[in-house]
Amino acid sequence: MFKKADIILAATLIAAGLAISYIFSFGQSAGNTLEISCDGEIFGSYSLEKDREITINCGEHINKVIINKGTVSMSFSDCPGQDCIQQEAISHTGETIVCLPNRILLEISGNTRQYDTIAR
Amino acid sequence: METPNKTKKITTTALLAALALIFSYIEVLIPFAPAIPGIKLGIANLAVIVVLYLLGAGYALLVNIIRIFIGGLLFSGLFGTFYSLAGALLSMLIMILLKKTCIFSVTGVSMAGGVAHNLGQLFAAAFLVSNIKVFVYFPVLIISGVISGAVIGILAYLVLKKLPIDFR
Repeated sequence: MFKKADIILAATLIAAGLAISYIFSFGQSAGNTLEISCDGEIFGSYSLEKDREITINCGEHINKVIINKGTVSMSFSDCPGQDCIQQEAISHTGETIVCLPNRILLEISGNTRQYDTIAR
Repeated sequence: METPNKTKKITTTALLAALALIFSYIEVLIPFAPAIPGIKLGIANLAVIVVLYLLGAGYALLVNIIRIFIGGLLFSGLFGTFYSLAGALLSMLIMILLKKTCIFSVTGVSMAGGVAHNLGQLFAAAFLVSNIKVFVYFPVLIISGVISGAVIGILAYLVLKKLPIDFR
């Protein structure tokens, strides 16, 4: 049921996976800003230092995000799958939570910001 | 030995498409690492791979399309369908190509298929939210694709071995 080629393939894929995750880990650090995008456009940027709940009205959909103790999670969404609710809280730069049906992306970035909230 | 006639091929395809749908439903019931978007057990691929090796690429593609569109109507909705379609098309392409080379066994083809499926879904996700950062999840999805692909591949191998001779 296994040929030699399979084992080489599996090893190559796993090695590639590990290499990529190693490369990515250089960009990881505790972030301090949450950027929310709706449909590819920035909805707002929020500092992680202040606990709060943000309501996003994106198109006809509603999502709610909670910033709590420097981590971000999706607390409410009107999407059918609810995958975004189940995703673990994020806190490091580059980490994301996505609500595909509602086209919403939550992303942590590490830019230092002077402002507490920026809405565009 | 006669090659299976058309009716037999069509009914086999229909049977396995129905099976693929049931597998999809079971997958929806089992919550599997929801922390990582797009991670799936890929059990439905078992039916697809068996058809691929039994009846060829055309019928396998048919099974995939049937189960994605009907599955979309039944369970996952428009976005689920788009997402699955992206994964399945890339996965099918890779599996058909690899099978043609005859270098890999069912297991190898299934592993590559699993990884390609996840990659296709990542592309769909990146497109939908217009952001390339979702690829941060790619390493995890490679590894889970290899593991679930290997398991499904072994199961497919066992199933194919047990099928009656008049099918091949």
